[in-house]
Amino acid sequence: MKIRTIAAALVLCTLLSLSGCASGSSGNKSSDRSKDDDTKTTTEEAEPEYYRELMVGDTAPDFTVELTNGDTFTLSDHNDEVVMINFWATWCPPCRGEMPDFEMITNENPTGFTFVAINQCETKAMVDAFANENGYTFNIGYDPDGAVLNKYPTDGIPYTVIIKNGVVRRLFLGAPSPDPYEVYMTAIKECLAE
Amino acid sequence: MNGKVRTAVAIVLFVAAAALIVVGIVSGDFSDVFNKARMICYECIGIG
Amino acid sequence: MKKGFPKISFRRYTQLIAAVLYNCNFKGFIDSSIYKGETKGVCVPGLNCYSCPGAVGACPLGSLQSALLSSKYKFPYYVLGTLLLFGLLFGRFICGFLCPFGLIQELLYLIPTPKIKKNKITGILSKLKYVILAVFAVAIPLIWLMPGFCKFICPAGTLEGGIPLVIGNEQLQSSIGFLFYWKLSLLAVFLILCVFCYRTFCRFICPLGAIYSFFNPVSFFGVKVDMKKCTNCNACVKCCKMDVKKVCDGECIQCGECIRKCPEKAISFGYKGPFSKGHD
Repeated sequence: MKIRTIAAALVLCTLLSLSGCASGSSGNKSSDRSKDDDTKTTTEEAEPEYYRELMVGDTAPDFTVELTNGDTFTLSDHNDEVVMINFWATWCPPCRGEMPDFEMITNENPTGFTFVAINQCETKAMVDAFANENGYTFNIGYDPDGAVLNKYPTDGIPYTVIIKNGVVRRLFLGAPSPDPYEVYMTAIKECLAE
Repeated sequence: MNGKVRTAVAIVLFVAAAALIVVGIVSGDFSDVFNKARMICYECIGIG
Repeated sequence: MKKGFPKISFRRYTQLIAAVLYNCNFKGFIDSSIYKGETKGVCVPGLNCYSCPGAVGACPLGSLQSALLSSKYKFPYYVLGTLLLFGLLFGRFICGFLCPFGLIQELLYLIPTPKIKKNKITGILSKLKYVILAVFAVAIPLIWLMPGFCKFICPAGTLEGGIPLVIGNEQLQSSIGFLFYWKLSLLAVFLILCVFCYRTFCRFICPLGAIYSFFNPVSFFGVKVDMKKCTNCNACVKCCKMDVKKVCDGECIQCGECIRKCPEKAISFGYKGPFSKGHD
């Protein structure tokens, strides 16, 4: 009997303390989104501390990444273009699966279009090894500490965003099926025409 | 298994576990696990 | 109807606390988003999908698979070390006390129906989990570079991660296809089987249980038998609902049911690691 009272008290204490700590700690992560649900972020000069998940029509947060070919890519340099950003990682099978499609799209090189695939939090060495092994030539950006990803929060990858004139036009969560090339190409052409 | 062998196996495994964890944390494995657990791939958990 | 509350054992409380502890990001369930705090880098001992909106830790089996995916670039020291440590300290005590999916299965078994008792066939089937471990959790991630168990089998992932995420996210709803329906059916099969057959998933399928089972003979904490008192009456093995042939073999989830059933009071819980009394 005693044991059960103690256990019951323990359950209660854990529940209480956890609900406290869960709501406390989730608030101070920069990727947390409810914090700024009411403040439509991202356009201001001052960098907002929290970014919420993007929706079509939002202003795309600006960022600069270093590319595998040594150049840098800054989103705001391409404000007059359609830009497709893909977030990926080497350990993510569907991300790897759509890489050949990105290669095809980049090779077609539609006018007024730029593509960049931003790696998620892996070391430069790993990204380089992966790109060399597969011989990919499209823009691959490093994001070892997740700085860019924090501006484009998502629960899952692959995550692909199409931006035109600095505004989010299309969002893809996961690799589109059955043929990513077709789906992306159609979306890019639509965005270019819009 | 007799007691001495079991003790030896247990101690060796314990030291190995501690060493692996330390090496893992030093080499940045912790952040790998972290990154894969906070940013999942939907297809990998069967959404697709 | 019996009067009053049904007895809730200490083990059940522990299971409940563990399930809540692993999944205490309640806010995640409301907005179907995944917790992203630093604690996600720590593996919990039990099978608990890290894509569950409530999860505040990583699933050791999921982490193992995703670490094996990058093993070409990096040896998974940390995940292997964690599994080794958990296994060595507790063995399958984790299955019995600290696994939320085990708890769900046990609760389903409480539904009063005719039950399938353990027999020769379940004994053979209990070896299946080693095959699943080798093929789906190790070989497929290493060779085909995909987390085979998480992707094709894991019912815990479907229940804790897949379903809540799909319900709360319209974009995901549009992307579901055969794979999701396959995993949903598999989950349904396991949940129904659990009503009739004790811990179906743990006994026959769970690769994490398979990993921990290797450590049962050397684990530091758990059920131990005082061989001086034991009369080999086999009451412990007969009352056990798992496919054990001996107390604390690979199939034993250290639940302690046999402690009460032992007429000689030869079985107890406790420390049985190095330098313990009667360490033999």
